[in-house]
Amino acid sequence: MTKRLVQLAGAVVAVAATLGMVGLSRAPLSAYPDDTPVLRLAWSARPERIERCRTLTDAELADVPAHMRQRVQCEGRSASYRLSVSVDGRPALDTLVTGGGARSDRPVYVFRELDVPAGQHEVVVRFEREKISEAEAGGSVEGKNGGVAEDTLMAGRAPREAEERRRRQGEAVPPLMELTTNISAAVREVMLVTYDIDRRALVLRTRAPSQ
Amino acid sequence: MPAVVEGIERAGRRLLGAADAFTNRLYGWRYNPLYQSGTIVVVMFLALIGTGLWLLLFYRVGDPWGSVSRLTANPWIGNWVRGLHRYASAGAIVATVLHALRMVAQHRFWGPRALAWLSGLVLVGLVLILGWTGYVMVWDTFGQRLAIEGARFLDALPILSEPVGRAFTGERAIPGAFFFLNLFVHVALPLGLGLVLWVHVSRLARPTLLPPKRLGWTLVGLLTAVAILWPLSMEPVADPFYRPALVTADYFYAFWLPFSRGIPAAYAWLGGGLVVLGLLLVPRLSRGERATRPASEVDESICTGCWQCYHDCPYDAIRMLERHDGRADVVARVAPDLCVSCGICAGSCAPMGVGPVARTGRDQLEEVRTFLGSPARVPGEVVAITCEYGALNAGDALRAAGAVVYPVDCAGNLHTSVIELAIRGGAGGVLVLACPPRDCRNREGPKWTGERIYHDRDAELQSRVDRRRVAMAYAGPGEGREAVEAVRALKASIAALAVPEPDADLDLVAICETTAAAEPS
Repeated sequence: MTKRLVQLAGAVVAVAATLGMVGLSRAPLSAYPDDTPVLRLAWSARPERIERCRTLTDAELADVPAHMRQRVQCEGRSASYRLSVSVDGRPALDTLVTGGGARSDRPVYVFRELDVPAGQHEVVVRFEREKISEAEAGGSVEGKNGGVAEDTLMAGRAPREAEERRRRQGEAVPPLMELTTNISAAVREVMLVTYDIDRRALVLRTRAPSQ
Repeated sequence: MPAVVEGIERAGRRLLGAADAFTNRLYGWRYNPLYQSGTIVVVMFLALIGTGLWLLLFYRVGDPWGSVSRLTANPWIGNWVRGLHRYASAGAIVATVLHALRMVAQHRFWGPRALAWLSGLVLVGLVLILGWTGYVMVWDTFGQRLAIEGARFLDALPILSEPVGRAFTGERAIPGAFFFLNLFVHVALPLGLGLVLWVHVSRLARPTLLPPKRLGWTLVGLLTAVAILWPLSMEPVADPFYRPALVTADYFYAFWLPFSRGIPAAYAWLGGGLVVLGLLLVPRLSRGERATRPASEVDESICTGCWQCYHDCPYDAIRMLERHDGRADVVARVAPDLCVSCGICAGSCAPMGVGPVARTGRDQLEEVRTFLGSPARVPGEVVAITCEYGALNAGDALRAAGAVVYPVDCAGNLHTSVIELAIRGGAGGVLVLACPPRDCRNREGPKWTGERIYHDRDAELQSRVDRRRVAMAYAGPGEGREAVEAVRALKASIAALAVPEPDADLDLVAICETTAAAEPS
């Protein structure tokens, strides 16, 4: 080959290799092969605390370092929930959901994606606290003074603790949430069922919130 | 398992040999991009930094897709810069794979070189993470797909209090903090890359970080031209409520997506972990016989303290220490944990006092003496000294061309006295067939050998040797034709010369010692 031909071949190979590489860096990839609509269940919520509380005696309080004293002591666990979904009356999901973390005391996180056929459907999503045993159903005990001197550290402590427990209880997901809705599922569409913390209820969303 | 790795090495050598030969014919060894794969990664990295800093000026974490979209719509200062950024990132992966393949094929990853192999794997990991964060930054459908899949893997690990995947479900807008964190990682990782790159080359003397300027600029120019002529377009913005059938993807960074999609994250982790473990263990699994070759040693009674082996060692494995026997100021000492037994020091030592055991200059002279003493030798024939990893592949073709093949481990550890002895022993000519300089598995062998033959670098080919009978040429493993042409050229040039008389009483060792002692150290 003459030098000019070699140079030409070199240029052609270089351009072809570059185009090949560039082509691979912007090539179509099958992202979601299946075009079935999806019902996505996704939310995070604080589970209810199932606990028994009792007021500590003065002697017990005295044994606790001053900065760790709580007038009412509670022990228990986070509730678990049964999540069930039916589409047009047919069960599509039935599962137990527990809180996150090793001790299941972190918020519950739900993430499930269910294929639903395209078209109109009635969907029922039910999220219900698991039954509580008799022993656990003791309920909470409002903190009372218990005769301990209202010294500087403990001044006004009892109502504050009660308020804190009420607040935590209020943040927890309700014992039962049920969403019954009609959906119109289009091909490749994702319909989201999530927990609206303000309404304390399950809601259906079908379009993206603005970013 | 070692047999599998050996098979991969052999296949890699054949493949690379053929590819190298092809590209050498097109561009010459000096500008062969396959030889420059490691330095091309650095060029791509520099292009990425340059374009990345520019793109950063226009990126908004509060409006990721919008800001990139506006940039992409601008043909003057946006689109082609983004295109170059993207294509340079692909080029970095291509060059990295070629570089790794060459290292495996040439068995350049065990012993002291294992650090470079391991740090190289870390570099690859960091580059892949960089690519992931880069595509997620755009927040188009491809970025969303990568983010969702990445989150699925992360959420399988019990390390995060709240699943990352929650951000992409559509229950709320993606927090700006996510894009800020992503941007931070994308910008900060290159600093880590620089640090690991330093570790990667830390065991090399005179590391070559950049290719020849002409090659580097040509590559950047080519990518820029493609970025201008084939402008990037924007993918649709990420939408959690729609699952697109196709996305325009970068396969260099999303090659794993078709494999991981649809399998549980735990299995993906397991599969990925096994691949990484296998790659980490490559130096261990493929040590073979070469890994046990002894490090160089110095015969201190011969060392004149001339510093030449110290200067020539490609791995900084030789130290010059103070000596106290009154013979010279310093003496060479080899650090065995840094020595890869390349033997280049053996070729650098005029009195032949350093080199791997059984491969010093003196050992080489013994070997060539035996070779020349064979009854099969005919005075006047051409001796082709060929690298084991290079032109030795074309041994049969060389013999057919009328040369006698004398294989050596590397042309770089060839002591020039071997050439002299061959000619004095009756060879009509000696052709040193070295690998192309950028392809030397011992990094600098052909460079030093060339300087020793032609430019009086110690240990130089003595002036008493008839230069008309000596030639040096470069030929890689797939370049038998070039090697044969070099033999023919030498045969033609010595055809008119008289057949030399063998010099039976030659004591080159004594001559070398006398010569070295006479030279100032």
